[in-house]
Amino acid sequence: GTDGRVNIWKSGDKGEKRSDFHVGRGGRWEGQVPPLPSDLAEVKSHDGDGFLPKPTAKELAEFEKLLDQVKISEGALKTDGFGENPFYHCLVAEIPPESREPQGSTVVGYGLYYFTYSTWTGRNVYLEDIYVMPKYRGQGIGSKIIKKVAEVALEKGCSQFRLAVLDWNESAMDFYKARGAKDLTVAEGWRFFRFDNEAMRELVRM
Amino acid sequence: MAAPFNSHEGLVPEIREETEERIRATQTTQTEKATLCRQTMTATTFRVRPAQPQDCPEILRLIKVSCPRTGGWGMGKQVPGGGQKVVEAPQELAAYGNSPDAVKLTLLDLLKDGFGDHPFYYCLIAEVPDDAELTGTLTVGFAMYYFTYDPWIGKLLYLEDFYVMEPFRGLGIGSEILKKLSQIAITNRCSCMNFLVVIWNQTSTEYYTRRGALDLTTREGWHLFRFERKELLKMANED
Repeated sequence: GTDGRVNIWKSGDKGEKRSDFHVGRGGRWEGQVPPLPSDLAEVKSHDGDGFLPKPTAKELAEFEKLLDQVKISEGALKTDGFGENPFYHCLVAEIPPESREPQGSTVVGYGLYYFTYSTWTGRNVYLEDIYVMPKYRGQGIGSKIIKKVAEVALEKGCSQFRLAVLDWNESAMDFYKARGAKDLTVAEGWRFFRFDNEAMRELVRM
Repeated sequence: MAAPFNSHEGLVPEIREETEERIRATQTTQTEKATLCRQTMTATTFRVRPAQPQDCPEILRLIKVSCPRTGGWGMGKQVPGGGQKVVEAPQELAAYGNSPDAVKLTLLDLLKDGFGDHPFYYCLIAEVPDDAELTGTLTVGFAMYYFTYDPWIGKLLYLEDFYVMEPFRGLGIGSEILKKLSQIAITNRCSCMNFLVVIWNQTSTEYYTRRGALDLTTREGWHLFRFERKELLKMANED
């Protein structure tokens, strides 16, 4: 645990070189993604926690299939987030060094977002990924991350803050609805579509 | 804001003259012009190219024209009543964004956000020769896109809006736009192209699924959530 002190700051701030840049979807903070099944096992015993779902066996099996889909390298994450033209921005939640576990990291959560654009209202913020390590949940870290992203959105003149949630992740849906977010898929029929790599190559061939 | 546009400073005073009223006034003219142009077209030549700052007035015109109330066939913003083959939608949706007044974006926003220091969007323009004016062209369609990011697979291309004026559909302009977008995605090492479609818009849904698009909401259960400004202020100001 921590003594409640958590700093949320923007990766790359403070002028230090973030050579130990850690972004991932799981508890391995050496830059590897995604979470190991053991993390999910921890989640199961933490009922009512904010972000990770309580996966069924089917979901776990599908999740493990997703491991094959993690294609990105740490190098790519660095260039894409910290190059001349960043494709994403990241907030990290950090605990004081004295509070961390032995061999553990001070970074215990993150929020990854980017700016999008609406032909009706202009600039928006899109929260792509948010994660808090299982042991640090229930302390308001997730809320702090969301709050910080809301601040960034307002600061940058954004009219909306959008995100996607999986329909079986009820606790996440409740979390966002409790803060006033609207489920546009239900309310207005919006659906996510995608042309994957193969489909795009077909379009080029046409 | 001083000199926000590096190479386009000279353009700003000219663009300022294009007031919102003028753009509204040109909408009808351009729509009539487009219909006439289509009727007199001898060859169906068209070109799809990246937008320049000078295209912003036309982009704004097309954004407003593509609003459902005017019979537009835009992307995820399509609502019933646009004369398309759509399924009945909830009553509340009929009022949503059904008017060009829902477009809050101004010409200056488009210029600053598309052609300033940090582009928030990119545009492709579809144009045809304007036979009435020997050296002129008529802008008849556009696509607005930007790059997004998935931490597992990296960059993605996101298609925000995609519209072709009614008289110019069925000529392959849409396909050419999608082809160019795919080329841009592949060149920029994007794994895929994402976009939103309103499920009640059968025409749009079929257009995309016919071309190989997958409905991730159905397949994987993704729902789109939105916080508006009111909620942002509340969250930012709470303890």
